[in-house]
Amino acid sequence: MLSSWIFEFADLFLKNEMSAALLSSDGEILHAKSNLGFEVTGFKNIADSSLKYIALKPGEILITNDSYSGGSFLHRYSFLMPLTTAEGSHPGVLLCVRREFSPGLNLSDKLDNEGLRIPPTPIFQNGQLITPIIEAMSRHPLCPQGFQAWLQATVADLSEAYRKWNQAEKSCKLPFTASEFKKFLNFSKNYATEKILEKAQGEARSEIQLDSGETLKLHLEVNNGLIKADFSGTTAGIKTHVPDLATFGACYDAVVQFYGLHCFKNSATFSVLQVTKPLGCFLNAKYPASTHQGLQTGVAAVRMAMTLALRQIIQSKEVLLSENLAVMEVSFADNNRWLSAWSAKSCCESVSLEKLESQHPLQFVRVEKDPENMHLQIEFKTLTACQLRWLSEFTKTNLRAPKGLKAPQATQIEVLADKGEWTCLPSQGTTDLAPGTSLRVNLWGQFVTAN
Amino acid sequence: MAQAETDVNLALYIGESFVEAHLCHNQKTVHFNRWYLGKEGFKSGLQKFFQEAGVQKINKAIVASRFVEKIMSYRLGGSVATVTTKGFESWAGFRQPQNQKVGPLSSTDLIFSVDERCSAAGTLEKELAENDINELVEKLRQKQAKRVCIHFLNASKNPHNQNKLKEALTKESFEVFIPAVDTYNNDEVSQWRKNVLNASLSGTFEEVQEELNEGLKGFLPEGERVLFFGSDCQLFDKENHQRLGSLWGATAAWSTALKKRIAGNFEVLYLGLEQFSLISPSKEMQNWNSPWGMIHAPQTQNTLLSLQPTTSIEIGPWGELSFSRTVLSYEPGPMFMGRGQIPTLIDLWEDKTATLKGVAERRSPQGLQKFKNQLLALNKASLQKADSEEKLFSNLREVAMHKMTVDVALSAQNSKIVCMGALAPIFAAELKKRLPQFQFELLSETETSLLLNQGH
Repeated sequence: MLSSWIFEFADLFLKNEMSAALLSSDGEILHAKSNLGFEVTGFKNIADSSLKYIALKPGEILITNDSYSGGSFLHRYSFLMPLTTAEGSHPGVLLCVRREFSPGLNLSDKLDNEGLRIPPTPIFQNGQLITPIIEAMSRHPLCPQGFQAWLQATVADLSEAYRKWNQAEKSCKLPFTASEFKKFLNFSKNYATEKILEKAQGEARSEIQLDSGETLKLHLEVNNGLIKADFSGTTAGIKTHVPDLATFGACYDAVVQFYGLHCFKNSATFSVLQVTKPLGCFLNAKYPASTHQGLQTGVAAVRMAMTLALRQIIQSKEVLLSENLAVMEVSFADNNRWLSAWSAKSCCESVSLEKLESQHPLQFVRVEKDPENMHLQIEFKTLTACQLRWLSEFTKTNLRAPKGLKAPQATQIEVLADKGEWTCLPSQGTTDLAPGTSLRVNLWGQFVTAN
Repeated sequence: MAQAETDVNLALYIGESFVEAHLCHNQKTVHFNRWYLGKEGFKSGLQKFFQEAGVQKINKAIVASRFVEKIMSYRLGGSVATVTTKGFESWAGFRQPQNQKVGPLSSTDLIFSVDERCSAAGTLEKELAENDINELVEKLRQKQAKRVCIHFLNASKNPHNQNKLKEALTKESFEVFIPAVDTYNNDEVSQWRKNVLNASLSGTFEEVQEELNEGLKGFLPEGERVLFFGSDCQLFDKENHQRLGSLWGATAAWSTALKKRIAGNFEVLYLGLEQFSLISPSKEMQNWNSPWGMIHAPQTQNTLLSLQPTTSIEIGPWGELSFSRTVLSYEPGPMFMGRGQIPTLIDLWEDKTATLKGVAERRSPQGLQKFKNQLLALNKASLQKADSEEKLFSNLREVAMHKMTVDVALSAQNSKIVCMGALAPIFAAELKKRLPQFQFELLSETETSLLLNQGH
């Protein structure tokens, strides 16, 4: 049996999911993936905190989106389903899938005002949907429209995944025994340690001043194959609050990217990273603090601080990309809403200008891309009165770039004023726009060589 | 021949590197052969084929071809220019997935824009000026563009500007491609990608067409040409917007033919020389996840297996010999065929290819030895060393079979599986043993092309 079998199988089994994990029933992540890298470490906590109080049989499903229980944004819902129970030498396997529904720019002072928060709740047991619970969720004033139907479709998908699991288990020797788990996780940890040891060891500091008022301070130490991230000196949250697990997840994501541990996203490799945060700092947020801004800009700041510090230690010459991202929500009359996220780092594969123009009263003027500097410029015009909410950058102040590099300009959302001049908006806010207002988003993605 | 020769039909299945040719009369095989395109071209291959068959006349020739896929890994575009609405020159490139290692579909020095605009409601907001057209023609001539794609925003709502430019460019002898109106998909970039691909593949496609027609001169009735399967199983010849769809013509034809033959739901495990996939004849996929991004292209559902015949063997991150995610082509091909330098999955089953048409004659003892030596060297460098050559081979074969078994078990929706393709006889028996809950039916190697004759 190959050492990589657990990964190979998990990779096949999860191939159609964007964010998911296979775990042992005692909560060890065997393999996790996510299109939002910081989410992968949270799966363990979802399993741990849910199954402590809720007993699920194979094929039964619970849901949660609580940012403080290992979750993510409130519009990203986690579904946990046991695939097998622990029996003899078989420790049992869990599937956790995270899916997005009706995303929005939900900025508020409290988590419960940002959207419907669902603590771990069973929704499918004994082959039946638990309709009263689902209906109660649907009646919540902040529950997105169409939630019930979406939930039913997701349960059907997971039941199909359960059927496939059983089909595979019947005929293939699946390597899910306690000893195989142990072997796999040990190997993963040793691999990660070796990868860290292959590069320079040492220490570095980075500091980021967030526009929302917080200061992030990081002292990073890479020693003996272990990475210690100490955020002592980081200030308390004002507007940006990052749950503990998301802070760890963001640090871990930076480590994975930096050391190329993509095939080894499992519990064992979490242990090469130690994260210390002072109590009360914005990276150690507690319920009921709001999390949306923290999960966007706070996580981006942590990831950037980690990357900058790691580069200092390793003295890396690799291309350095910014974490710049701009999220805008334009609300027109009749509940017509356009949410968009723009990043120079990743493309918007599914954005269709014609579709947007036919669905919303807006018209695009131009979209330009300069691949050399990873500069994007998107200009559009609103055709009717609307409200704009946005959240762009964690800082508009230029970052302290590594030696020899110049940080890219901060993301700018600009409005064309009456005099024909473009005016920059702050990094976050809400404003009403008159019909015919022109808006422009400018993003730069790459650190460039300093002259 | 005893039968009326004019009732004989020719069906060709053209992959990236192999051709399978099948002559049938009243749905019965008259002659079958397969040849490697690296050795024998279309024209000479066909002439030899007819000579072997002893057939002088055929009624019609139909083709399912994946050949154009071959050029997709190279830089496309050639002399294809793109004209967009001013301000949106980089929009299609902007949406290209960044994780794909392919170049942009249109080369940047052949992207032009003109001042025109139509609203989402179809109102013409900016009429295309004659002067702009003249300037554009000049620029296209300077760049020696032959084919031009017109990609205007909202042109499907009001094609006035698009048609105006098309007419002017056609008059100037450019071959013009406009996105087909697709009522089920209003994603402009998906339509533009399809259009550029149809234009970019045109040259190669026409070369294939002409070579086939040349090779069939004298065999086909006067004035008849070879016809190609589109993704909807319909046959086409010169319709240039259908060319991309030819990639999925074979799966459509196989599915149609097998649905006539087999009752109830079933799946097709296609184990060809160039591709392993699971085809669901009763399911349709709406999109093609192309290297340049999603393209709306309805086609029979065809899921590629994670292992392919030419998946390379390497030492993975776990330090053990296994299969990588890299799929090589038959150029230069597996090592046992003499020219390849990297071990592949099919090299492990070299001994089973002795009677495989198109492959048997390409087997090279030196290539095989080189493969064994390379594998042994890799084994020495791996963390889990096999202690003998035999063990090494059997371990790797076991890994491959296990992965294929899991893949089929996780992907198959039906318990009935029809197994076909040149390599099906090699793997089907083992899969049947490992997946007892499935009913496997194995089709002979001639069926890949025979089914094309039955599929339209």
